[in-house]
Amino acid sequence: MPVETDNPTDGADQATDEDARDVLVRCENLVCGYGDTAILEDINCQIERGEIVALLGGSGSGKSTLLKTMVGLLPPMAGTIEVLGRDPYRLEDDERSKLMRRIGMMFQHGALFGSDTVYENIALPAQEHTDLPEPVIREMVRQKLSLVGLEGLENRLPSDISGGQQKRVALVRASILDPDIVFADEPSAGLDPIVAAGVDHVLRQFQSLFNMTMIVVTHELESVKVLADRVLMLSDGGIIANGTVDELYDSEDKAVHDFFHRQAPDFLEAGEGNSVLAALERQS
Amino acid sequence: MGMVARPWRRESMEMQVETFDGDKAARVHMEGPIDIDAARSVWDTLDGLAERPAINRIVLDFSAVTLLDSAGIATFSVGVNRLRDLGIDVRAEHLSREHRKALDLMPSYREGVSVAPEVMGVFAGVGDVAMGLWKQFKQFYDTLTDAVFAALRMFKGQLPPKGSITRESVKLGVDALPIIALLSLLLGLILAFQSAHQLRQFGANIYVANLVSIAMVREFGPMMTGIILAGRSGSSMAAELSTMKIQEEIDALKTMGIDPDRYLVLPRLIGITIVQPMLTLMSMAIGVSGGYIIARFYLGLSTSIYWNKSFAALDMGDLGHGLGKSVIFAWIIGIIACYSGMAVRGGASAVGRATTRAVVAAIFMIIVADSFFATMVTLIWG
Repeated sequence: MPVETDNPTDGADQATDEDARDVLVRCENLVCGYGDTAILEDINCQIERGEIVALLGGSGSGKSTLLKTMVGLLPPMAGTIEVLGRDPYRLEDDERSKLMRRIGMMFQHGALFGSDTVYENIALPAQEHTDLPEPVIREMVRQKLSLVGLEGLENRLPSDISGGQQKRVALVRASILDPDIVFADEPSAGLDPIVAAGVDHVLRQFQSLFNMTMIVVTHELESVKVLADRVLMLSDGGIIANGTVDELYDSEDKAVHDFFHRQAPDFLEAGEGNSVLAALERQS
Repeated sequence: MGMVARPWRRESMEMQVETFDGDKAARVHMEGPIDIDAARSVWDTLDGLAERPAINRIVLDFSAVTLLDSAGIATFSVGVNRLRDLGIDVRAEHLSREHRKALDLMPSYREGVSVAPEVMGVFAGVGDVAMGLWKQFKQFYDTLTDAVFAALRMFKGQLPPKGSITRESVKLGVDALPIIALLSLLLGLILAFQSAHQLRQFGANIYVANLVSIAMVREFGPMMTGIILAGRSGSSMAAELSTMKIQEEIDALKTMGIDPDRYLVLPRLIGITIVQPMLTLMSMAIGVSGGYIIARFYLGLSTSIYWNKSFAALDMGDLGHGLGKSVIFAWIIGIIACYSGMAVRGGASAVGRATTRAVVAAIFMIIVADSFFATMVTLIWG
């Protein structure tokens, strides 16, 4: 389905569009974290138009932190970040708002507004950023909901639908304005394998239908195999690998190898000569 | 045998300590399970041996031990370390394969593992509190200025969402109407009743009308409404916003390019600014009506006298004083509730803390502001 979108941007962004045609996200020497604690240091990466890039890594590796920094929610401690050619942290409110409408964010737990219906949740960005008449917005919502198999749930509250459905509603909301980039934080986390596969399929489908660039945080290898054109693997406070799934699968780097081959760390090992038995048998 | 093979029928552990080598050495023979129930007696036995200065060697005989659980292993880990620190040679004998496996799994004793919360010194504690207060003040200042700028941006056409002010006004104000009406009526009754008793002694019944009307219009109407709205609407605002914050709904708004201050804070502030003076006006009227009930049926004043005296006692300045205060109280409630909600961090317990803080701080500030008003008005206008 070829989709020509009337991108809701104006001349203010056109100058930068030239620069940002290919590289949509650029991080240079980025340091990000919370308070005074840096979680990630010296992050350098570029994400190009049309890619699906997986940010992969174990729990606590800083995937979500990097995503929040990219999406404009967590100012970097140092370094440069550009999204669509602009630094989201150095823009005036109006300019920032224009930039933000060109990106979509799918939160880990959906972050749907609990007191609003599915329709109200999805329609909100369109109502806020466009002057489209309500019937057109309603049709946009209906069409996109039908693409993810949720047509007819418009009047339900988020609490009345399942976790998998909430994730799909979150994706529809993130993509209602046909953004250039969609950021997705653990889209298939907490879902059973079939529903998770469904969410992955929908993400892939949206990317190809609307030519979106997607940055997906995940630690699910199955999702990575299905989704990712490229993988940025995070560990030890930085990017330790950057390549295709196949390249990383064959990587000789221990951390990458262990992750891709599901090599469990041996927690149940006290360490040689460091056990209670060794202490008991040690001569006084 | 082994760490996990706990029998259904519990057997008890027996220990025998025999000394040898001229009472310089002791053999501890243990029989049965050394589990969480038996660990204490093992500890006491090792402790007892440690207090015997003649002992310089202990042999732990595991030959009849049927089970060794994590409590037992931890007891040996700490106990053996303590004995060795006292210069006592400790050996383990006849460990079975399962026991060796279990003991080999657990890391040996390590000093310096503290689970007690860090205790700060006085200066560090004071500094920590001061920094915390400064941080809170900055957050509050940010909320306040963000709200002011969001309000100013309305003149540039950045209005709150359609219908949101009406929705918030109804939620914050109209729903609070019955409780404010009832309490104001009771307050008017109480005021009139208490004052009537005193005034009747001097034949000054007629002044009940003056007293009730001035008290309700200048003080009790605004304050009663403020305190009820702080408890009812302020808490609901703080709870709603803090829940949205911890569920990342506010982050979601930001990523959509929607200003949370315009979308969430402004409608609530405008809503409470509209409804609070209205509710205060209603509270004043109902409170004075409560006074009328006592004046008419307890003191026997006529309807016309009561109302004439009430209106005669008041001027527009009194009404302006009361309503002006109510607007200030509305801003206090709104700003504090929005700050408490938006500044929240953490999980479900943080929502509770934010709500409590919003109510307590708002009520406190209302009373402080009221005292300030009373003092200033008296000093300036006498």
